[in-house]
Parts: sequence; structure tokens; C-alpha cells
Amino acid sequence: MSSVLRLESSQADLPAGSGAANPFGELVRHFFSRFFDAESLSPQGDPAVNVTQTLGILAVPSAFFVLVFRPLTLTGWSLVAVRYMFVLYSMIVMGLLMVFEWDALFPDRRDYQILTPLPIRLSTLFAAKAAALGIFLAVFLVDINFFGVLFWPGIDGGSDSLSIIGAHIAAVLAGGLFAALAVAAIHGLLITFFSGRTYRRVSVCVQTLLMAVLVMLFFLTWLMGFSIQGLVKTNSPLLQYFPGYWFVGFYESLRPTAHSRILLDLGNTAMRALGCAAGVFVLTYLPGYRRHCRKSVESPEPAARAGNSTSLLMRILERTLLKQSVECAVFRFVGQTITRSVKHRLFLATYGGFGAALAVLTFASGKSGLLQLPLTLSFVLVSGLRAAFNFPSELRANWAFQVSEITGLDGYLAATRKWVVVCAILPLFLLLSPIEFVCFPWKVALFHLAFGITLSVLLMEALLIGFRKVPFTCAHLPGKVNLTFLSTMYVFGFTMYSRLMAGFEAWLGAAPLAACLFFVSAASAIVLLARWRVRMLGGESVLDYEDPGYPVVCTLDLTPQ
Amino acid sequence: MLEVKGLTKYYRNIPVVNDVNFTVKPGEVTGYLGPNGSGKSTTVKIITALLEPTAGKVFLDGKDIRDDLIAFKRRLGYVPEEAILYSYLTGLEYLQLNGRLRGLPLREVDRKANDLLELFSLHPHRHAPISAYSKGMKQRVLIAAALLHDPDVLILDEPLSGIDVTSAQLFKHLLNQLAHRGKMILYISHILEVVEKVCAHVIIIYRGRIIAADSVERLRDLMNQPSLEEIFSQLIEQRDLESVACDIVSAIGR
Repeated sequence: MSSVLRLESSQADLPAGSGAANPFGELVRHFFSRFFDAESLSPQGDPAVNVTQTLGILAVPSAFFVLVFRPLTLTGWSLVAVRYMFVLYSMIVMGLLMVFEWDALFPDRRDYQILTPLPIRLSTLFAAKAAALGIFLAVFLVDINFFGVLFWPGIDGGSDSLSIIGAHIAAVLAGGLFAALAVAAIHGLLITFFSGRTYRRVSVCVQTLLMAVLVMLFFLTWLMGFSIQGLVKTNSPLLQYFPGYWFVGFYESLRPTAHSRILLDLGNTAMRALGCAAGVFVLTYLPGYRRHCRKSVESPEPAARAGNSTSLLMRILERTLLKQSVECAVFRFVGQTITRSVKHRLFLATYGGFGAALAVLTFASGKSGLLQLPLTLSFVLVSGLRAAFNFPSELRANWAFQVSEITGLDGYLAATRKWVVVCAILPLFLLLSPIEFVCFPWKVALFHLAFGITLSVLLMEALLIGFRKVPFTCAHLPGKVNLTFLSTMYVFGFTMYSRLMAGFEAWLGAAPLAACLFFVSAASAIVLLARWRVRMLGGESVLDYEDPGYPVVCTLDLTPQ
Repeated sequence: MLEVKGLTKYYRNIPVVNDVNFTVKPGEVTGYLGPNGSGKSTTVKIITALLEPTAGKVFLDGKDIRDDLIAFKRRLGYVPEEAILYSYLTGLEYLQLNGRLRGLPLREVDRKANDLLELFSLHPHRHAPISAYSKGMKQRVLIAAALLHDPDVLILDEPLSGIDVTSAQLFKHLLNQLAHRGKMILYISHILEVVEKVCAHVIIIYRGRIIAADSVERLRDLMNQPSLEEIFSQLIEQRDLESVACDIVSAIGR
């Protein structure tokens, strides 16, 4: 906003001639800063610090890859696999950035309302937006590939360092640029072919799907990298459909190492794809920009009315499960926020992509993978929701909860748990049930489902201990997260949890008495936890709306109290 | 009766509200006036328990509200200064959320929410997200949400902000009706003509301190001024507004 004000003053200065501010430069700065809008952060969050942290975090993986592979001097297919990791990392990060910035690619209603009254041509706005986008992409392309390029010559077994670096830069930049342009072109196509409400709905679905797919690919990078040789030998059609392989082919065409005709052909595909993405982007962006400017003000917001089946389900739940009005309010609020907040949907899509990657890996590990799959997915789902609940949505609107808090805490907390069970755990196992019934006899499948659901509920109770909030209503301080606890939990959860629990499940399956004991114990634990919660909380209103911030003065606790 | 006694709030050692005392009687609309930054909204946030006071207490019917905040909140209806709402909820959903959080039976919530939307001329927009509402529409949603549970105490902070003439007239009648039903109403506003018409009692706060508190008629007599606007101008240190206006015009023309 401040940059817009500067822009207005600079416009006023224009006739004065010398020393007049440059409106185009101001616009570029304004649009560039809009890429870093930090609305998802707590009010205490510093956007500049967060941008620096993001740049640092994104630069780390290529540095890590370089450190891992630098002691080895690679040639042939091993070098192709490692090249693939660098190229795909560049592509995925650039793709993810464009998905994050999905709404910032075109002007939104706020931009339109603030900038249109100013004496600026639409073409100037468009050029400034395009320039800001170009700078944004360039900054991140350089950042994510900096260490990779710097230390790459030690990994490539060749002798001509300049040629090695040149080929590496060309491949990672081309891959990254393709991914960014492809995502922008998809958005351009959507904005060209759909209008108003349909555009908004389709756009949100595509954005969420892209996020999940890109995250999944990120976690499958190493697996895909080391399977290139096999795919090339069998001339797999997968090579023709996955862009990551095209740009490894492009790399091969710049510096041949595996001497594969198929890879060289893929290099040509990469160049055609890059041209195609750039062409579609250029053709759709300007008309889309002009059209979107107008539509962003003219088209009404889509109605948010629940469908008939959802309304019926809610009525049934209100009569059976959600006894208190407060439970009903929080239950609906959680569902409405999850389905309508883009930020939360993208966050959960990230978890979804991670879960999908883990599912591919577990499913590929044979018969035991079938037992692990539901447990892995439920862990990802429950832990993802727990993390999403911490992120506020329209934090300043939480006064409505604070002012109307007229019952004890239990109703609020029970509603959150009920939402997780009814809207997340049960649908997940319902989706998985056909696989279970196809792969196992029906009695075994039923046991698996019952075990998975019970374990997920126990996991949810464990993760929500100490959660004294209405989801999405409490300020979030990322720095206050207990990283040791979180890392331990996630490392255990994503590595050993499903394997250990699948082993336990197999053992229970062979010992019916032990299985009965397990279910009885689990049910008792859940009931006892619920009672303990009520007793611990009493009737007091102790919902948290502010994470405790950092004290003004931190002592070293050296003085005995 | 709502009583505010010795209310004080410091921000970084600066008293924003300093030993404020007043009462809001049942059946009366009490106006709470003051220039920007005088401490009105801070007082209101303390009364609604959104902020804790540095000192002082608020009593409802003789009981400290902090002894049983939940009981107090059951009887409280609040329209905040800014229309900050969950913009992705629809008007109907927002009222339903408020009604349910206040423990009203589900059927009653639906009936009252729909009735109020109809009466506030919002029914055709009930399924549109609040983000698509105009400022006045958002304000009407806030007023409806504050009235939904038939509260005894109403704290209305600039309730007419952005509201059109017809809705404003409706609101003035509504305030009178609510006062006749014995509600305690604290009305915070900058629009002095409205305050003069609807408030029986007026409190003026300046730089965190109460500088006048009486009925509008008595203030007129005491200050020997024909209107509340004149009284307000006399009590509050005012710059020479005409010369400031001249300075603004010369500044933009420079």
C-alpha cells in the first residue's frame, strides 16, 4: 500500500520534470513485494526475515546434494541420475513457487481497485507485473541452483570446467524456467477458457492438485533418478510423458555421458516443450490479464451454499454426534475453513503429496506394504491436520469466539476431535476399503480397517494433548515450535511407525485374544482421556488465542529460585 | 446496571485510559464520545474482556464481570469498531456460528438468523461470502450477530459506520425499542447528531480521562451551548479548523 502511495505522489510530481520518480519502477517494486505478502504469518512475523529464511532453506538442498556426491567423481548413468536430481529440484521448486504465487500472477480485486484510479495505462501495469514476475523467478532460480553450480565440476568426471558449468547452468535454468512457465501457462489457459465462478472453482482445484503432485515428485526424485537407466533400456513410455526426463535428455545433448540416442531425442522434446510453454504463456497472459482485470471487479463471489448431501449429513450429525450447540459451531467452522481457505488447502495438499509419495514407496514394498499403507496415510493425514489447525485464518476475526465463549472448554475440544474422526479418518479408511477387500479375505480386511481406525484415533488423541484452541483462531509463532519434539515425532512417524504398527497388526491378527484386549484397551484409553480432559479443564474458559510470545527479557536461569 | 470503576490501562507506561468511571443504566442508551485516540475503543475492549485492565473493575448488577466472565458474556452483545469478520463465511453461516457459539438451540439459531437477515435486508445475499459484502452490509451482519441471543448489555462501537440512510434510521428506532425493553446500551460514535437524538446520557472522554458525564439536556444548560457538537468542541482542545483547511489546500497546490 505504501508503495502505491509513493506511486501516487510520483505521478503528481511528473509534470515537474527533473527528479520525477519513476512510476514503472514503483509498480515493479509494488508487484514484486506482493509476491511476498505474509498474510499467513503471525502479526509478529517479519516479511524480510521470512524471505531471507525461505531463500536460505531453498538453497540448502542443492548444497546438500553437492556435499553428498562431491567425493565421488561420476560418469555414465550414475552421472545422469545425479544430474536428474539437480534438474528436477530446480523444476519442482520453480513449479511450487508458481503454485504458491498462483493468485499473484494476475491482478486481484485489491490491485484493481487501488491501481485503476491512478493515471496508469493497463499496458504499463502489465509490463510492470511481467517484469516483477521475471525478477522474482530469476532470484529464486539463481538461489536454488547457486551451490549446485558452484561445486558441480567436482562431481562431473570431465576435465573442461567451463563447459561442465555452462551445461549444468543451461540444464537447470531451462528445467526451472519450463516448470515456472508451464504452471503459468496452465493458469493462463484456465483464465482464458473459464470465466467467473467456474474459473474460481477450477482454478482452486488445479492449484491444489499441482501442489500435491509437485510435492510427491519431490520426495520420489531419488527413486526416479536411479530408475532412468532401466527406463531407457526398456524404452519406457514414461520417458515421453514426464518432463523431468526431457530435461535430463537436454543435459545429455549438451554434454553426452551415457551416449543414449533415446536421451538425446528427449532433449529435443525438452526444447519443444519449453517453447510451447513460453508460447502458451505469452498468448494467454496478456488477454487473460486484460480479461481478469475487468472480471475481478464485475463477477460476483461464488455462493458458498452447502450441497444437499452435505446439509443432510450435517443434520444427521447434529442429531446424533454433536449434542452441544458449541460443538456444532466449531465442527462446521473447521470444515468451512479447511474447504475455503486457500492457504490451509495448499498446506494440506503438501502433506497429501508427501503422503502420496510415501504411499507409492510403501505400496511398492510388497505384501507388507499393503498393511503399512493405511497406517502411513493416516499418520500423514492426522499429523497434517494437527499442523494445519495451528495456522490462523483471518486471525483478527477471532474476537467472535472470544466474546461468545460461554461454555466450558470441552465442547470446543470435542468438536475438533469429532471433525478429525468423521471428516478425515473415516473417509480415508472408506476410500481404502476397496483395496483391503480386494487384497484380503473380508474378515481380515475388516480387522485391518478396525485396527487402522482405532490406531488413528489414538494417534489423534496423542497429537491433540495440550491443544487448547479452536482450530485456526490462535496466533502462530513459528519460532516457538518445539523442533526437537516435532522432528522426533516426524522421523519416527514417517520411518518406523507404520512398519512397527503393521508388525503389531500382523501379530494381533494371529492372536484373537490379544486383538480383543487391544481394542478394549484402546477404547478404555480414549474414554479415560476424554474424562481426564474434562476434569483437567474443569468449567474454566481457558482457550488459547495467543501463543505465548518471547519474554522481553530472557534470563539464563542461573539464580536459584 | 453496568458500572465501570477506576478503569485504567497503560500501554508502554502511557495511560491510554486513566481512572475512568461511569455507569450504564438499564433502559438507557449511554453515549460514549471522544476524539480519535482518546481511549474509547480501549475502554470497550476492556468491558468486553478482549483486553485486561491495568487497574479498575467492571461490574454488572453489582458483580465483578471477571469473577464469572462466561456469565457476563452470555448477557453481552458487541458490535466492534471495525467490521472484522470471517470473510469466507456467508452472512447466514456467520450468524449461525455466533448463535451456536452462544449455545442457542440449533432450530432457534436458524430461525433467528434468517429472520434477522430478512429484517436487515440481507436475506437475498445470505449465501454470498462476506468478502463480497459492502461495508454497510458487513455492519448489518455485525449488528444482527450482536442481537441474535437477545443480550441484556449492548456495546455498540460505531455501529452506523458505512450504513445507508434508511438502515441508519431503522437503527435509531431499534435502539429506542431495545432501551424500552430494559437493555443497557453503551453507544460509541463520532456522529454527534445521532448521539444527541438517541442517547439519554452522554460521557465524553479526552486523553484517557472522563471530562463530562451527564444528560444531554443538562450539558446544554451547564455549558450554555445549543447542541452536542458545540459542547464537544468547547470541551475538546480544537485546532483552528478553518486555518488548517487553508493550510491543506495550500500544501497540495504547492
